[in-house]
Amino acid sequence: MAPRWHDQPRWFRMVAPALLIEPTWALAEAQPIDVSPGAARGFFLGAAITLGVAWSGMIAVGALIGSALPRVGLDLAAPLCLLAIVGPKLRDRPHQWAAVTAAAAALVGQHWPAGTGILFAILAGSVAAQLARRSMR
Amino acid sequence: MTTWLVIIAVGAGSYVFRALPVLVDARWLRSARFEQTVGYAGTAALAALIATGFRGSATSLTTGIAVAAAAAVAVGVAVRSRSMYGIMLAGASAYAAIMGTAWLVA
Repeated sequence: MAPRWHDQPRWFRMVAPALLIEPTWALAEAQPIDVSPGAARGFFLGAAITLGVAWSGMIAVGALIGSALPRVGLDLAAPLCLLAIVGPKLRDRPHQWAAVTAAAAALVGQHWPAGTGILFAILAGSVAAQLARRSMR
Repeated sequence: MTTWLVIIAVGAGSYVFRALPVLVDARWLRSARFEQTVGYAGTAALAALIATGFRGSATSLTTGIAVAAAAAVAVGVAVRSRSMYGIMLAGASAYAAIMGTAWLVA
């Protein structure tokens, strides 16, 4: 979000990263880049207060009562939610390459220590997307 | 006590990791090329979490088939439409259909 927030006041640039989670990032990232700083700030804080609180609240509820619920495949809801967030970007070919490559790399590195598998997947996906973008020129 | 210290340390580290690029007003952070690369990294990060999430949900042959079907249908809807609700509904419906069929057969 750094390129989008460089015109924002310092207090916002200190507070907003603490409110940056998957759904708030996805909404802020989907916003047009030429929107005014005030409008972007209001939009992000609105998303953070509503969606961010609900998302974090549901994680807490899941941690507290999740194991007591019957096994009806509720654990599938998390990846489907994330797919719904990233889905609108998947119409773009470089983003498709980023997603497919990162997914494959994440499965390869899923047992690597300390989240290094995810970092490897992010790197692999970013490189694949850049190569795809260059090949489209 | 140690657990709380670890939680606080990880939280502080996570905040610094997110806040530093936003607070450091470097010129290269504002370039279109950098924003494009970071945008791809976001998609890649979410795709990695999605893949491991789907993999973790497949705990048996039946759930594996159901999860694979849900993932395929949800990705198909994601590529064709921009509807977030549609993606979730399609994936959950495919999963429920296969698990329901398996339950009836058994």
